[in-house]
Amino acid sequence: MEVAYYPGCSLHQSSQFYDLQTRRIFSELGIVLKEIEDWSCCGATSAGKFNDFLAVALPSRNIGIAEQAGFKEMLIPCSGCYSSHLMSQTRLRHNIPLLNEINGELAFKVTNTLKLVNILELFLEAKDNGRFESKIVKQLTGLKPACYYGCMTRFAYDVPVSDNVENPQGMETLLDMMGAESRDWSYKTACCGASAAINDPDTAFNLMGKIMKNAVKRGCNCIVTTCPMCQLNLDAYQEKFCNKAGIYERLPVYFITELIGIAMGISLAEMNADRHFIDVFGLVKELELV
Amino acid sequence: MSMMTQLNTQKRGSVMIVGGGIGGMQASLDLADSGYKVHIIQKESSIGGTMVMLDKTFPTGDCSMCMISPKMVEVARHPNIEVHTLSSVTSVTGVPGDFKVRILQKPRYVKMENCTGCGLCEEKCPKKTSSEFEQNLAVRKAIYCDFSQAVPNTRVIDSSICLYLTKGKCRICEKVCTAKAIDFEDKGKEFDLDVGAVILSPGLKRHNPALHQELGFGRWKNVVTSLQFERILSASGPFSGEIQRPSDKKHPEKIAWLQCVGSRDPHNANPWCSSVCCMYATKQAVIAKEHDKNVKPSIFYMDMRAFGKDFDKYVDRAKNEYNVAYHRSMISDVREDPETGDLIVRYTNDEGKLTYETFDMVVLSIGLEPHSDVHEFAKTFGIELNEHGFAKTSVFSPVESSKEGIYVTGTFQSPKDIPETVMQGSAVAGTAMCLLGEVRGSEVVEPVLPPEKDISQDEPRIGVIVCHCGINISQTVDVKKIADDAKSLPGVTHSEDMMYACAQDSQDKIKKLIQEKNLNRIVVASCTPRTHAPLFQETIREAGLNKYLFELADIREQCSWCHMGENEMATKKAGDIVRMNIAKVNRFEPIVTDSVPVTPSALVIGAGIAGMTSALSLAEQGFAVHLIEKENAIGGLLKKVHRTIEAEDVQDFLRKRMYEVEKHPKITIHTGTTIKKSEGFVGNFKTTLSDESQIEHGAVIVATGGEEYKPIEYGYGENRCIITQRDLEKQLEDKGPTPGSSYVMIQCVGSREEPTNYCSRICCQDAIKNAISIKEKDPGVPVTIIFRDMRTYGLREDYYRKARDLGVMFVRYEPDNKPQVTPMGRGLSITTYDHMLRSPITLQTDYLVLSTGLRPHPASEDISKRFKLTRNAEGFFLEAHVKLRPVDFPSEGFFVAGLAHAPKNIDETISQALSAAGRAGVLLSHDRLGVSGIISKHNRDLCMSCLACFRVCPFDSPFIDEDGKVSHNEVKCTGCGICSGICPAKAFQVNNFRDDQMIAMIDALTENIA
Repeated sequence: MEVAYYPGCSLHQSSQFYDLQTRRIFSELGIVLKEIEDWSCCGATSAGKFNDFLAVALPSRNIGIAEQAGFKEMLIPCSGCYSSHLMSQTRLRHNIPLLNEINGELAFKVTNTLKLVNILELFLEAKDNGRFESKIVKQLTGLKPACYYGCMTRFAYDVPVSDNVENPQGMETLLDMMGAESRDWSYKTACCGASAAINDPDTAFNLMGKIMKNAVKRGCNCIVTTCPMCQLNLDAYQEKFCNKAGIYERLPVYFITELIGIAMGISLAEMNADRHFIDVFGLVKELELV
Repeated sequence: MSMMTQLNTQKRGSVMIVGGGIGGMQASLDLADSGYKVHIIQKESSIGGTMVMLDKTFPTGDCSMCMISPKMVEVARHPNIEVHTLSSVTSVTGVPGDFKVRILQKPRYVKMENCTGCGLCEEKCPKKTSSEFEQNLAVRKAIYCDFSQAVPNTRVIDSSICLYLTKGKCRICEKVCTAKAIDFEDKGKEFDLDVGAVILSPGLKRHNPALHQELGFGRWKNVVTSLQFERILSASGPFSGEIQRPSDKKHPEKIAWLQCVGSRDPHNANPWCSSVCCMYATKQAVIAKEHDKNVKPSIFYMDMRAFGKDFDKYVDRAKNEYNVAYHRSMISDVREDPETGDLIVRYTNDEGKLTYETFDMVVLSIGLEPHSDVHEFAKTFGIELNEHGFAKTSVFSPVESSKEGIYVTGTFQSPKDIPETVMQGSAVAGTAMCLLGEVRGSEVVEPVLPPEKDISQDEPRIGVIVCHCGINISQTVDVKKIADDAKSLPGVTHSEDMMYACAQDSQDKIKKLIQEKNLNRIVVASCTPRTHAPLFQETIREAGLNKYLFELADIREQCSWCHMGENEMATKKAGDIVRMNIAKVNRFEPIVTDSVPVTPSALVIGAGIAGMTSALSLAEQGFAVHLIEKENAIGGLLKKVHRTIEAEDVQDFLRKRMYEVEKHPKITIHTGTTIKKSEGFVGNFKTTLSDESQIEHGAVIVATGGEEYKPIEYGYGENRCIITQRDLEKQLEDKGPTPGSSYVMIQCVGSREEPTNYCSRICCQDAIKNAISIKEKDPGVPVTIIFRDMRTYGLREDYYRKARDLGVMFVRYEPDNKPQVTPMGRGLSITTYDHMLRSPITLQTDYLVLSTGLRPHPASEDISKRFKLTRNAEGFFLEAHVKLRPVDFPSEGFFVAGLAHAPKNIDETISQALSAAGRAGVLLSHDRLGVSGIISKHNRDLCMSCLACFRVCPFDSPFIDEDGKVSHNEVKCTGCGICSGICPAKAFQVNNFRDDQMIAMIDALTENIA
C-alpha cells in the first residue's frame, strides 16, 4: 500500500527523528510512504494572520502535487500541517470560485479527490486492517501515558475531523491495545502555548505547567503526543516550566511512533530517541520494556 | 342519509391518552370527570412521567412526589380511567370520532390482580442492575418497581437481565411470592381499543450530556446532571436526601450549575431554549442551601430566563436571601483535580477577568428534547413534526396536530414547565370534549359504592395510621413511638405506622383494616389535609364508612418540617397532635350531604382572545355561554397586533375567531356591558348585567385581559422619534421601515423593576419580531436592541438567532446603568455601557423603540372585589395552586385565562383559554354537584336573629327569612366558621369542628399539664 507523505518543515528540521520513526514504523506495517515532490510550506498559523488567500493557496499547491501524482491518500504527521491542509481543502470544496482562481495559477491542479489523514487515522486504519497482528512483540505493561493531543488536530471547528473533538481516543486505543494503561485526564486538548514559548514564555510556561501538573497528579509516567510542536514545547522547556510551577517530577515526552516502535521491538536508539531533552530511556528500562 | 354514512358519523365517548405524565394525567382526570371513558397507554411500568423524579418544586418548595402521588392514586382509582402499562400503539385506523387503535402490551411477568405490592420478591432477587429511575446513582433488582408510590403498585420483571428469563435458572421470586403473582409464562398481548379521540402526551427526553466531553460528564465523578441532582436532593433518592457527591460521599460546599447544556447550541446540540433550566437550577440552588446551609451555589448562565409569573421575584430571593452567585458566563470546559475530585471551572468574571474557580461538585443543567418515540409516533398516527422533532402545531391552535381528532400536549408540543404542561393537559381535554360533545357520558360507568354502614349504635373503634412520608416525618418524629402510644388511647382499636400512607397499597391496606377490625373512624397522622384528606376520605367511603368519619392529624407541615433537628420535642408535639385528633374523632358522627343542580352555562368576562377562545370551546362542548365585554366591540388587545413572531397573520385569525364567536348559536355576546350584580355559588350563579338583563350560569371564566404600559421613561411623548413596539409594528405593517433610517430598541421599559418587578414576557419576542421585519424589508437599516436578558424561550430561540444572522445588534445593559437618551437636531443620541467593550458607546438613531410591558386591566380590580378573587401584588389574579391548578381559582366555579392571570404570548393565552374552558366543562357536565359536608349547621331553636352572622359572613349564606328570622343557605356555606365564632348563642356549629369536639381536643392536650 502506497500513501503520499507530506513531512513539512518540523519533520525535516527540529523533529527529524519523528520523520525517521514515521517512515520506519509504517514500512514495518507494510505501508510505503512516498514523499511528494517539491512540496512547500503549509503556511502554518502565520499565513492566515497575514493573508487569507495565502492560507488556502499554500497548502493547495501540495494537495495538487499529490493528486496529480495519482495518490488517493496523503499522510501529514505534523498536526499544524495537517490542520492547514484540511482547512484549505475544505474551503476549496465549498468555494468553487476560489478553487478556480487558485487552480488558474497552479501547475498541478487541485481536483478535490485526495483524502488527508493524520498519523493516528493511518495507524487506526492499519489496526482495523489487522496490520499490527504479529508485529507487537512487547506489551507496554506498566506504561501509564497521558495522551496529549493539543489543539491542532481539532482546530477549525467547521472542518469535520475524525475522533471526538473534546475527548479524543485515538492514542488511547492504540496504546491500550499494546498493553499500556492510559489515563483519562483534563488537559488532552489544552493549548501548549505553541510559538508563544518564544515570544511570551511566561504565558506559555503557565499553560505547560498546568498540563504537566495534571498528568503528574493522575499518576501518569509519561506524556505521549503526535504533534512536533507540542512535543518540542513540553520536552525542551520542561525544566523551565516545572521549576516555575514548582513541579518536582519530570516526565518523558514520547512521540506515538516511539512507543509503537518499542512494542514492535525496535530499539529507541534505532529511532534516534537520544534527541529528546528529557531522558526517554530510563522509564522503559525501569519497566523492562527494552 | 344512507346507513353507511350514519355508521361513519357514530362517535365514541372515549379518549386514548398516550403518555401518563402529569400532563396526560390532568387530561385523563378532566375527561374522566366529565363523562368520558379514558384509556392511558403508558410505555413504562408506572404512570408519573418526569415529575415523579423531581425532589421539590418552586416557588413553594412543595415536595413533587407529594403533589403528584394523590393525582396518580386518583387516576388509578377512577372508575372511568383504564391504565395500560408497558404498552405502545402499533397502528391507528378510522376517522375522527371513531378510531380503532391496536395496542401491543409487553409482558410484566407479574399478575397485577394477585400482587399485593409487598416487595418480598424484590428483596430476594439476586440480580442487580443500575437504576434508570435513580439516574444510575443506585442499583435496582431484576424484579423491581421504579418508586414506592408507583401506579399500579405492582412490580415488573426486566426480561433482559432476569436470570430465569435469560439463563433458565433462579425463580427465587416465584418461590417467595405467597400471593402466587409471578407468571413467567406471561407473553404480553395485542388488543384493539375503539376511541373517539387520541391525545399524545409522550413527554420529554433529556439531553445526553456525554456528547459534551469537555464538561466531563461520565469522565469526572462529581459532574452530575440536573436530574441526578434532583435524585440526590430527594428524600427517597440514593442518598436519602443528604447532599453528597458521588466520588467520596463528601458533603459538597461549593456547587456550580452550568446552564444551557445541550440547549441554545445549534452547532453541537439543540438550537432551542429548553425553557425550564434557569428556574430549576435556581430552585436546586435554593433547596440545596435549605438542605445544607454550608452549600455555596453558583450558577453560570447566558441569559436568566425567568419569564413566568413571579419567577423574577424567586430569582431575586435566591440572590439576596440565599446568596446564590450568578455569573453571566458560558463554561467551555470542566477540569478535574485528580487528587481531590474537585472541579476547576474557568470563566470570565464581572470585571472581565479570566478566573479559575474550584468547586466540589458541578451540575449540568441538561435541556429537554422531544421524546425518543416521536418519529415512530409521527408514522403511527400520521401526524407531522416540526423541524426540531416537536409536534407541528399552529400558534392559533396549539393542541391540534396536523391530523383531525389527534391532539398533542405538553412537552411534545414545545419545551415547557409543570404548570404549563398541566394547563395544556386541561386544554387538550377541553378540545377533545369539543369533538366529542354529543357523546359525553355514552361509555362511562357510574361508580358503585357499598352502602354506608350504620354506626350509630357502636362505640368508637378508631384506626390510627402514622405516616413516615418517606423521611419527611420520620427523620424528625419517632413515628413508631407515636403509633405505639396511640394504641392505648380511648377509642383506639388499631394503630400502626406506614412508609407512605398515601400510596396505593396503603389505601388497600386501610380498607382491609376497616373490614377486618371493624373500624368505624380513622385518623391518619401525616402530611396535610389540604392535599391528602380527600384521598383518605374516598378510601374509607369505599370501605363502607361515611367519609366524614376521618381526620388527618398534620404532623408534617405543622411539626416535622418546622421543628427539623429537634427530634425529641417534635416527637412529643406529634404525640400531642395525634392525641388531640383522636379525642376529637371519638365525637365524630356521620354527615349526610346534599347536592344541588348545575346550570349548564358559563359567564365569560372579557371578549379578548382569551374570553372568545374559552367561549367558543365551551359552546362547542355544548354549553350555553354569555360573553360580556365592557367595550363596544369584541376583540381586545389583539386588535393592535398584526403578526406573530412566526409571521402568522394575527388580524386574519382575529377576524375569523370574532366571526365564529358572533355566529355561534350557543354564544350570547353582551358588548358595552358590565356586571351590575352577581350572586349565587358554584353551579348556580345569578348575574344581573348593566343593561338589567339577568343570566343564570354555573361557572365564571375571568378573562379580563391586560393593557399596554404607557411609558413615562426615556422621554416618551416628548419627541416623535420615541415610539413603542406597537407603534413600530403599525409603521412596518403600513409602510415598512423608513428608508435610510436607523432603529434602537430598549427592553424592559416599565418591567422587572419595583414597583412592577415582573417580566412582561412578550417584549423580547416583540422586539425580535419587529427587528426581523425591518431587516427582511431593508437589510441596510441598522437595528440595535439594548436588553437585560433576551428571553426568547422555547422554540422562539430560532428567531433570536435569525435576528442575529440578519445583522441585528444586541447590547446588554444593567438596570442601575440605563441607556441615556439625548435628542439631537435630527434623531436621537443614545449612550449605553457596553459590557463586552467595557466602555460606554454612543448610537445615533432616527427611532427609539421602547419595549413596554403589560399591566393587568383596571377592570380586574372590580371583578376581584365583586367575586372575592385574590390578586398578586401587581394585580394579576392568583390561581389556586401555581403548579397543579393553574387555571382554577380557590373559589369553586371560577376559572382564569389570559393576561388576567399573567403576561403571556398569543399561543399561551389560547392554551390557557382552552384550559379554562376544559376545567369549566368538567364542572358544567355534571347534572348535580355534591355539597361539602364541612359546613356550618344552624340551630334555629337557639338563634336569636341578632344578625351578627348575617353581617360577617363573606359568602352571604345566612339570610333573613320570610318570617323575619335568620335562616342559613347551606349551599353557599364554605365552612369557614366565622359565624360560629361570632354567634353569641352558639347557634352555629361547623360539622367536625363543633364546640364539644374542640373542647375534647383542648382537654386531650392539657390533661397531662398539672
